[in-house]
Amino acid sequence: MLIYQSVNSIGKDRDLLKKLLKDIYEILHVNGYYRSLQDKKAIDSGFEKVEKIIKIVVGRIWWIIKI
Amino acid sequence: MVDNKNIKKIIAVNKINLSKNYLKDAKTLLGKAGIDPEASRYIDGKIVSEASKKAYLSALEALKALFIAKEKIDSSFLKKKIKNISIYNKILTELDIGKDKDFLLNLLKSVYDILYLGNYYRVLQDKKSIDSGFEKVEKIIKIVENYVK
Repeated sequence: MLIYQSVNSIGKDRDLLKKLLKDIYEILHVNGYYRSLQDKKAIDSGFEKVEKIIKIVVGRIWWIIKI
Repeated sequence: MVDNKNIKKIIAVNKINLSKNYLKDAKTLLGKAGIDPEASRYIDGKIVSEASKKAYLSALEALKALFIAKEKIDSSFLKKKIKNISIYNKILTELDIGKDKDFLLNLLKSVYDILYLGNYYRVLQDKKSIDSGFEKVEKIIKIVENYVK
């Protein structure tokens, strides 16, 4: 129950994750994968955002394990 | 007495100036979009979309200047607002400008994908992608300027 609550109450991280996911979808999936976009800065930015998501999620998981 | 060659040069210079003005307007507009530093993205999608469209048109105007300078298009092409990238690609591939041709083709593809499809149509708000698109428009203008002088 405690774990369920902690996953559902991610607070301000939810909005940030939603924004990051939208950008990743557009840059990496739509432009990178489908349209073979080769712009380095754009692709790097997409990868950076994936790293940000992983960082946020890892932080959450550690918080749950501590509980 | 102004001959035909000089007229074309004047038109090309006017086009490149128009292109610069479009880019300047686009940058001013983008400045109003606001930045979310945490997510590294612009806040106002509508402004991003409009600014990206202007920057894309700026790149197309710059290419028109190159086509005029290289005598590849006539006045009827200039009067139309052609946004179809395949027409520009086709004329670019016919130009004899050495390695700049491939460079311009790559830049145009990136500008089209990032600014027109990504930012204008799909309202991508990622800051680094948009900034990269704007940088590439600047590069196009810089290359074209060498041929228009």
